[in-house]
Amino acid sequence: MAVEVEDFYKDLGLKVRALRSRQHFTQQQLGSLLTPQVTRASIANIETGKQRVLAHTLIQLAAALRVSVEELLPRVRAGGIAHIQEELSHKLALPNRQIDRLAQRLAKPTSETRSLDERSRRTRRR
Amino acid sequence: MSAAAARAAAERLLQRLNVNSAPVDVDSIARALGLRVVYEDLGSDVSALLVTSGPKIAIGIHKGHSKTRQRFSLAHEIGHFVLRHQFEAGEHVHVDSGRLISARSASASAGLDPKEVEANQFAAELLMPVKLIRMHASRFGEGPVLEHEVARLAREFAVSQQAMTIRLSTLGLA
Repeated sequence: MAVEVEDFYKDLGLKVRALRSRQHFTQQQLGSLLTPQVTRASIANIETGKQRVLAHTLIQLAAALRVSVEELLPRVRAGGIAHIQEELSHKLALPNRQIDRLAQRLAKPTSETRSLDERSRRTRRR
Repeated sequence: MSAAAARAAAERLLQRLNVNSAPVDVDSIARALGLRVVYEDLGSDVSALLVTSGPKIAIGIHKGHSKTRQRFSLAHEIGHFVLRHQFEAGEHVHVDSGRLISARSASASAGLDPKEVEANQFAAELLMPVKLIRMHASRFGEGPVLEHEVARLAREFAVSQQAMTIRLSTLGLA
């Protein structure tokens, strides 16, 4: 979990930085737009993912950067394998290398989804 | 959901997929249900696992175990899937370390999760369908199935002798 959470705040920070540059704000200026104001250092820490943004700060950041809160949030990797990897490593007594391989094999997307069921149905129709 | 309902679900599935001969091709059944099956080393104490999140539901089977145990493990995980078992909230991977335990034995009813009992019942019915067992056993004539006949049935259904013994006694044939 630790890695995922860190990545989340790093991604969020990168988005804040990108949007701030687009608005031609300095870190200082962006900090002054929040209520209560935050320091330049605080914005710098948010942008590097070292500081975890509070919910109300997130809303204010989005407003200052002229995006919706949703746009500001990093995409959560839905169906990603990080959480599967994480769980496997807790539940199985295996070295990391094997856990990674197993997670890859279990979670990789495929196109082969047609079922035997459908096939037999089609055969019957003929 | 009871053990009987779990067995009925397995029977319906076999019927739907037109399975009427032994040994039951449990890999094909998994594929027919859209499940991915992966054979890998799962470490000690784990026979199989079910991944319930991600792009596709997937089953991991310990490749180091005997073929008959692998088949039972796969049938067991298919059972969890077909019976729509809900595991702990937020859990993405359900791990089974289980060895085959008779649902009738005291050790099974005491302390074993009902979901596991159901999945075992499902697996027994899937791999050793009552109709096919009766058909095969009828060759041996009247009376209880003898030991060498149990061994033969186990080979024909590609299950362990232990599993077959339990199945036959459940059906009152041994």
